[in-house]
Amino acid sequence: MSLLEVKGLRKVYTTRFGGNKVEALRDVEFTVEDGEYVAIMGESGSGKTTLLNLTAALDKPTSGEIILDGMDICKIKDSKMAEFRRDNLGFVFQEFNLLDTFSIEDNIYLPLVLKGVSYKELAKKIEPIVETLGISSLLKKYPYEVSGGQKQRTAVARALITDPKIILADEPTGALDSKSTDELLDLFEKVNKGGQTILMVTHSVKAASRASRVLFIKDGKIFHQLFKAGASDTEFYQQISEALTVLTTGGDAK
Amino acid sequence: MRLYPRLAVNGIRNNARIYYPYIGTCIGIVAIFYLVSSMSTDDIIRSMKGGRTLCELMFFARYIIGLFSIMFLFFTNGFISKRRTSEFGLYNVLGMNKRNIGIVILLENLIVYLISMVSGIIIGIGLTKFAEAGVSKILKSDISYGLNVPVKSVVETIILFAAVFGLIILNSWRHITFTGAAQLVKNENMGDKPPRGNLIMALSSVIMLVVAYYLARQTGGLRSMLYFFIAVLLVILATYILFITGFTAACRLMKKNKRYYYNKKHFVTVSSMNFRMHRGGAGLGTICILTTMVLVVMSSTTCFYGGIDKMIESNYPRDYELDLRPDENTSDRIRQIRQALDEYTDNMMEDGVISNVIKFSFLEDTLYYEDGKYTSIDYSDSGEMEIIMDHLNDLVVLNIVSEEDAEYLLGRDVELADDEALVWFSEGNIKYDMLSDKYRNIALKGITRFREIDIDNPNDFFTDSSTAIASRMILIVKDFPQVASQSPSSAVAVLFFDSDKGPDYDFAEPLRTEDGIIENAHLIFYSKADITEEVYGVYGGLLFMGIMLCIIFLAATVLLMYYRQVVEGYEDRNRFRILRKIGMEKKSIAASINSQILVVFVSPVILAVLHTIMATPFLMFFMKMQGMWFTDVFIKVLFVTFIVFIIVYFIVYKLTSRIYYKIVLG
Repeated sequence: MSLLEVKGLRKVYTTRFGGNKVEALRDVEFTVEDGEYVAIMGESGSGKTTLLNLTAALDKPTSGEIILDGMDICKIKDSKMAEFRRDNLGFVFQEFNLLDTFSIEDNIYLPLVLKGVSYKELAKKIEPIVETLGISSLLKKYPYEVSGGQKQRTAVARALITDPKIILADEPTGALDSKSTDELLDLFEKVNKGGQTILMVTHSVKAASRASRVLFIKDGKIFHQLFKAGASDTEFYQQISEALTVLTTGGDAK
Repeated sequence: MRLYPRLAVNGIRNNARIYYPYIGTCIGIVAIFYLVSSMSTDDIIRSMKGGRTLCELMFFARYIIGLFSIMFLFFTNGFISKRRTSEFGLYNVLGMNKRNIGIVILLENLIVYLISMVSGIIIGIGLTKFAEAGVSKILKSDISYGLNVPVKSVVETIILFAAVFGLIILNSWRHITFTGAAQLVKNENMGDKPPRGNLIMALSSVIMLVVAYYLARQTGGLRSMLYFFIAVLLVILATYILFITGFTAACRLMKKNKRYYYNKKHFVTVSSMNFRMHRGGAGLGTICILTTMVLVVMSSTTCFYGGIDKMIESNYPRDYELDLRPDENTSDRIRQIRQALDEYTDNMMEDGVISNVIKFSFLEDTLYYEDGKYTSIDYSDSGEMEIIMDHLNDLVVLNIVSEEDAEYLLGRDVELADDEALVWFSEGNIKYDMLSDKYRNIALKGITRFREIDIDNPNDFFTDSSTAIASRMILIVKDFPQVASQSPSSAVAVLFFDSDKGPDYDFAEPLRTEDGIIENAHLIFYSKADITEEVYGVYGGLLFMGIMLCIIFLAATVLLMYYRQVVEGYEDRNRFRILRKIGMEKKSIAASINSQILVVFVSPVILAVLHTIMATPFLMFFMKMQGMWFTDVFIKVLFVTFIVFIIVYFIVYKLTSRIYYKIVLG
């Protein structure tokens, strides 16, 4: 069984006064296997962020199912939702979403503290993670004192510390310079090699080329998908670029 | 509409959440200022009993309220222009130069000025009618009806607020001129340093508070006025420091305790509190000070007002008082004058003119304590003021009465031996040899010992209320005229009485025609009704002024709280959004918000109540100094004021936190 199964997903937005209906997603179907690194690509407005929000249970689909590890997340009660998200999902956002009131260390601890883990265990858990991410020296600093790349690594650490079933990343490189982008993508790859499943939404070809599979979404539908399957980063980059060209110039799905 | 006026109108509309309450406050303050100003010249009030005094008080109240209005509006506007900086920055980036922005600011303020002037003055005129009715209640006087709108007050109000708004506009211009476009845009989102909390500062503020509280308790003598003044300054300073550094220091300590801090219930709350208190500390300090002022002003003016009847009753037990003071302090003259008063009383009672009399003679002397002895102040010596200033804390007012008068006033026999005097001392025991040799050898010649006597209510000896500042000693002696004649101050024969005759009746007339009496004595006549009117004018005026000031202080407090909620709402909004994404339950978020808001709201009130309680001994002392003996009322009044204030505060808290929730969770 796949780790994440999305079946017949449809999302319709209704404007405030009930006039226009906008179909953001229709008949979206895909699966993500345990340990996979999947990128979702598409232009702005293609529905990729909607898809990620639904997967993250931040929003409810109009119809369809999203099954994570055998559980339909659309059927989880509102009161249990926060808990579910905290225990099963890890988030990395484009704008980092760190809390300025917390030090880097406390930002990383946050989900575990909310879960009720004791301080002793917190300290044990953080060490290997910050070691891997190279932010051990920053722990006592505050978000405003560190660079964007460091902020994003903190966010990754925060996502990893709960041992989530899947990491959902929304344009994680969107606010980073090219050096930080490379570093972050290296990290993602490293984390993925360690067995962590990642689902990433991006419109950066460079970011997508590091994934093991790329899904293309257009007008609310999965249009195409590419497997890396042993291709080098550069080759895969080439393939993705071509696919995007076809996508934007209006070619049919293969 | 042209561009600038449209921008100005939209600027106000789009910032309704912060602008409308501000306009509301402006209208309120204008109305109150106009009200107080017009009352100072109001003919209807002037015609009431005691109304003239009240009018004079309002004349001064104008200055206080005017000053406070300037400060208050100036600072709240500073808050608004800070919130709007990014908007103006955007205009700047989009191609409006600073002069254009300046015009928009000018127009916005003009609109606010016009709205608040027109509605404020109209509301003020309407309020005058209510105020007149209220004042007539306070002064217990009848009211005549009519409507007058003093042009002078209208002009005064227009000019004062034109000046206030002028200052506000200049300040906004200054702000825009000295800030670069890029800076203007991001002004609001600048990253704040995490507050570390200064433990030393926090501790020093606590020490300052303790010192201030200690000083405030040093009552007795005029020096305590100075102490209290220093205490007030210290309290204000300490309150601000405590709110700015104290809470962050406390949060820092909580953070050090890892097991406490890394707990689901405390983690988010403690770290948010840390920031919130750091940024909002000054605002909370102001709320605390304003709250203290409301409590103190309200409770003491109410107490003064509520104590009027009792105070007058204690000083004037009957409708009229007649004092005779001999021009010469000889025992013959003292005896002669008392005789004249006795005869007068008998005749008048026989004629049925006066009734229900209380009559006695007494002597009042002031002693000071030095080298273990109580010495009489020698007024013939030019150094007497120095002695008084040096001995403010140990002055004793000595009242001497005769055995017969004491028995008459106490209603029981005192059985006095020839060589003894009865003594009562407010400070406890006193031995005969504690009086100065001079006093013992001359005034109390022939008396060799004191016997202490219990007096339940020293106010039965209706002497001057000024005794309240100093300690009080009552001596009862056999040969009063002899003792009194040897004393540096003169004796008084007092008569209290009721009468059916109207206020225009000349009660003193028979004394004047009596042979020689009027030449040998000073005659002083008091009518309780006149004094009551005068006292009601003063304290009723004070009460009214207190109410007006409290309304303004309260409005300031409410507006400050409201703005805090709005600002913090916007600041916290993003934070809680992130927390929800990360997996904090809505319930926990609400709990965290609740405990934060609660601390923010409750802490200033708790400190304010503490301030007020600590000021109570001084306030009571101050009231006693003003002749208000009945300070047990004060505690009750204070308690009621606390309760009423807390209810009002709680309602405001509920209303404003709803806005906060709307912003944060909406």
